[in-house]
Amino acid sequence: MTSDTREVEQLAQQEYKYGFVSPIEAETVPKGLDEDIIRMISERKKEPDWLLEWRLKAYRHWLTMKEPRWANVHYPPIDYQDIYYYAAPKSLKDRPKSLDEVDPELLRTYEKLGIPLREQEILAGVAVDAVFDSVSVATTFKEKLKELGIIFCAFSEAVQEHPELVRKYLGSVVPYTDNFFAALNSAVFSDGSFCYVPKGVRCPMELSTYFRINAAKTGQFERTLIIADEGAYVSYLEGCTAPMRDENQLHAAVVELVALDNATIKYSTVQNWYPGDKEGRGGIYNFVTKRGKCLGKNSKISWTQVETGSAITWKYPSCVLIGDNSVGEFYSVAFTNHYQQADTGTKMIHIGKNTRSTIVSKGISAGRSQNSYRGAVRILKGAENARNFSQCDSLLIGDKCGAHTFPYVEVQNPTATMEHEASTSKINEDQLFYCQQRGISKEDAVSMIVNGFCKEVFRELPMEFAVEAQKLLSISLEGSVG
Amino acid sequence: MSQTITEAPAYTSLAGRFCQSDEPQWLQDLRERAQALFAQKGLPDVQDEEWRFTSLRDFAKYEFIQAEPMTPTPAQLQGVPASFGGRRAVIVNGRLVSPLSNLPDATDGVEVLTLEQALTRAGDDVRQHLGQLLPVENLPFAACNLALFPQAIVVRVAAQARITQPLELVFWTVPNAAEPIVSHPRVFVLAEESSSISLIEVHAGTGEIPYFTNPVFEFLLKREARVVHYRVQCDTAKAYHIAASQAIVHANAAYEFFAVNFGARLSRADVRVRLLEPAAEATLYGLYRIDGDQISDLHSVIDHAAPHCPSWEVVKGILEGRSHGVFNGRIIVRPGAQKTDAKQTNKNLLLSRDAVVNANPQLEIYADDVKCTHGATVGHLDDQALFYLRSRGIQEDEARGLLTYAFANDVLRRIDVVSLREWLELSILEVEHLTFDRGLLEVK
Amino acid sequence: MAMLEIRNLHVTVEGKEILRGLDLSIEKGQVHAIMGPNGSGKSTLAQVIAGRDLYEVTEGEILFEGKNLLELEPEERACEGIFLAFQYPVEIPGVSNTYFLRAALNAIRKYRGLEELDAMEFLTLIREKMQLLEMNDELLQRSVNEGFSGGEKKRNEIFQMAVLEPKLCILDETDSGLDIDALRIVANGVNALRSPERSMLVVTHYQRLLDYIVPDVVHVLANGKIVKTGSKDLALELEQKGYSWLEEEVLAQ
Repeated sequence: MTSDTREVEQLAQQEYKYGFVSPIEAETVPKGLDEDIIRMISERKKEPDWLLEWRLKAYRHWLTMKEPRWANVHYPPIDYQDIYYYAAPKSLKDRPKSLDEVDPELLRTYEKLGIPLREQEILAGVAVDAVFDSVSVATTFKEKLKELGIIFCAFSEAVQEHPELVRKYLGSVVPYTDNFFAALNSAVFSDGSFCYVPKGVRCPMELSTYFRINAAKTGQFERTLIIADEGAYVSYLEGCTAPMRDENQLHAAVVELVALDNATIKYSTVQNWYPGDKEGRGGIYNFVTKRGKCLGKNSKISWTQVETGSAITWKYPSCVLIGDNSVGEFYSVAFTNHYQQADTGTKMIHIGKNTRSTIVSKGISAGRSQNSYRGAVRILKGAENARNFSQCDSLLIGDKCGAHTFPYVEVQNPTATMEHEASTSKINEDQLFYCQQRGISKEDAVSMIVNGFCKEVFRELPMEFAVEAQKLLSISLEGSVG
Repeated sequence: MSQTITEAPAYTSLAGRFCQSDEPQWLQDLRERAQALFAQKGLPDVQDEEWRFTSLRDFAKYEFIQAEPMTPTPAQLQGVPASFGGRRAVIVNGRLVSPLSNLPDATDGVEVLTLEQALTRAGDDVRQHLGQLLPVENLPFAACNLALFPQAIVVRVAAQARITQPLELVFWTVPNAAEPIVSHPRVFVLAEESSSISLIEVHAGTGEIPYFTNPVFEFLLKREARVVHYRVQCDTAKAYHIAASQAIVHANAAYEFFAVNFGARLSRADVRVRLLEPAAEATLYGLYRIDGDQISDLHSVIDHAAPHCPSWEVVKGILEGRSHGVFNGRIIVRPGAQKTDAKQTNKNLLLSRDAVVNANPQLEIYADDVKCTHGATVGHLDDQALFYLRSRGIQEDEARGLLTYAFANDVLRRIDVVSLREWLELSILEVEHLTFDRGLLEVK
Repeated sequence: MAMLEIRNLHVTVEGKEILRGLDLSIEKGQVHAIMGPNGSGKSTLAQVIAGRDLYEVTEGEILFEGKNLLELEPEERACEGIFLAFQYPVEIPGVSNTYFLRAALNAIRKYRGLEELDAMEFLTLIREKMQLLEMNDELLQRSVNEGFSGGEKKRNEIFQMAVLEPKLCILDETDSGLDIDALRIVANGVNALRSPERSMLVVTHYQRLLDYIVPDVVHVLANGKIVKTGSKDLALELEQKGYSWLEEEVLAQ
């Protein structure tokens, strides 16, 4: 711990460790949004007509929609004409065939972020798709995965090479009509990751996408689609960072997961977008739609998220439990400090028989931040013997912040069982004193207690991520203890 | 989901304002503002977050006309619940009927007053608070009540007075055969310092014709006052009942509230308690049992505005038939309300295939040194318990009744007025046919 | 100079005075027992020495090896060598026992200018100490005190004491809730830690514990003051006669 602490202290002095800007020349489409811009993006990606049509339909629908205002977050109106909807490193204009052709500056960026892209340097067991602004830079271990029939590549590449799969599943979980930000994403999404795990295959390594926003005034609109065919298993990780800038940048992603009979998808996120400075200037607006469909019998989708970054987080990774006996899980740690605002949670929609869901949410608010859990559990008529258990705990550090819990529960089936528990409190003084009496400083004690508070969620993360998440949390806590 | 009610005829009939030239100016001003507010907002629809789960589509089919003063015939009074042992005010179609009432004397320490009388007895408090304790901005029906109520009843409990007998306010509706009527009962309860009283509010009616009751209650509890408020809504199966109440609780005062609901086609209650000063206390118990097409919607807000205030809330629902239950319970802890201790529990028993329940507990917390919890459950009767009882020779029906009783008893057993408790047990749980010893069920 | 020197200590909790001018002096290597009826202020004294901020010191001083303890934070006192075995050890969900103890040990070592122990060195150290308390390996992996029985919690306290090697051990009602076997294990652990360099302050209501941990000095605390000091025989006398005769004696003065 004390050695960790030293590390934490060093890191804390740098505040946001990932706030640097890489000197990479970007190629953008003109600022603003209209049908021409969408055509331009689509053309640049050499997309088939059906996809362009889909984008345009989404755009036209978006024009009829209003930005949602029900979340407990406040921000000045976003000028959607003042954003670049596409930015790509110039060097990537012609997709490099191997890492040797990739701009060394780009590789350096990822090294600095702790994500080496050369396979021999990578932690064995994690395949990475690196997305830089609007495009995918490189995907590691692609060949090795291919041997097993697993497709793991950039979304734009999947559109070219596996159009039948993309066409079948794109928008099948999150239709473009779903919500304002999903519609916007559907119109302008640039890149992201695509993954297909065939029947009966257990993906032998963690798949991961690392998102990086670099260019200024640019929105990031990536789209991820993961399909686990019958009996397949995949564990997927997502990480993200952005430079420190005074202005707010928009990130509106869509993630769709599909699990067929007996398939399992585990999706883990450590979200560390730039949160803004201590006065609340700058930071990412993270408006994300994530949803998984348990289409098949006995399928399972498990979301784990650690949210420490972003000025505003608006995000509800959800499960639609259609297949009988399917299982949905949501494990979340949301930490807010300074002027951050988070409104996050999940939706569990029980449709099939014997469907089960578990929600564990840990919210920690410090500084002047506002942290809300918002969740919905719906048990529909046909969901015989459905079960849900939800536990939402909030911890308050300091008296200027807020912690809020808004669960919505609807049950239409009398054989169902739903239990929701929530609690809010500050750090227990007795615990603090006990730690201090054993020689541990107050700040370390707080960090230790908070990490303990989040343990139930951390243990759902793959090992590497769990360590990363704990460190992140300790750093974020620095200075929040009075 | 997106059904909006724009051509609702009810809108026009509720849009007016009560005018009487000798009314004090401050009240006329309040009425004018409330009228404007209602005119501007109209009826809420399911787009409105506060009405998301309760549709007024059926309600809006009716044109409710303002009830006229009337003297009911004995036949029209069939079904008025018998006395619970205290003084009683009977209010028919929104107006106090003295000959039917048994009002307290001035010596009793509690008075039931008209607005004119109240202005002479406690003028400042009435002028400052009546119609103002409950902000109507987000409560269109309360705004409508404020604009339209024809008569206010003021209950004043004298300082230091400890009233041992409950005071009963019975709101009885006799519908009009020609047109459905609406009444807007308005009550202001002023509990002076260190006073104590139990108040029983009963809403009921007669006949098969739809009617609409729109009561608003305001409570002002001064320092160290204690009010136990029982609210029983057993309107007829065709009735619409939309109620709002607000209690403002000062230092060391305690407001205890029971909301028991089993009548009406549609029942909605907005219950608000504001703990304004340190060591004020709120306790809320809710119990509803609905069947058929009934809708019961309880929205509660417990607002901790001062430090060291405890609040405790337990709401239980039993649903049968195609009924729909909604619970929306907000706990707000304002900045500076340190040492708040708030606990909220919502439990629902779903007894039929077609019933639906929505539970939305909410915690909004802006102070750090607090202990707040909420829990919500939806479930069915415990199969194991059922089996256990049957294996001891109890008939299945009776076993179900017994377990349902045990579920509801968690709220009912806390009612101190024995005659009221027994009446509710009979009315809601039909327990008279149960042969078991109730003593066995005194759980927890 | 005594290791611990308390002079005229007055302590209040929420405006109520609990300690009213307490004096106590403990020499290096000595074991002192503090006995007294419920509510006499025994636990308050233990918590005040460790620095709990619920208690307000209104008068007097506490010197530890000549340093003014009242100026130090709880963790600084711990690093100086004061250890409190809690009457009610606190549960910390999600934080493993080993992790917690290593963090504590390294914080103290760092304070004393010693190298921090790495995971392997630490494991070697605690394995050795675990035998002393007959601790089960599995307890170490669990969260701090979570799901421990009463006896396991108390054993865990003494185990931590053995690992952290404090100079002054304060045992607050360590015998409460222990059966005779657990009491023997705990007492053996404590006795193994007795040394000429280490002092102990054993706070207890009953004489029972003192059969196992034999004190050099016994004090009786009543009404916020030490009212009688004697040898270990005083404890036996108290066991036979109870506390009331003492209170009468004090009142008679």
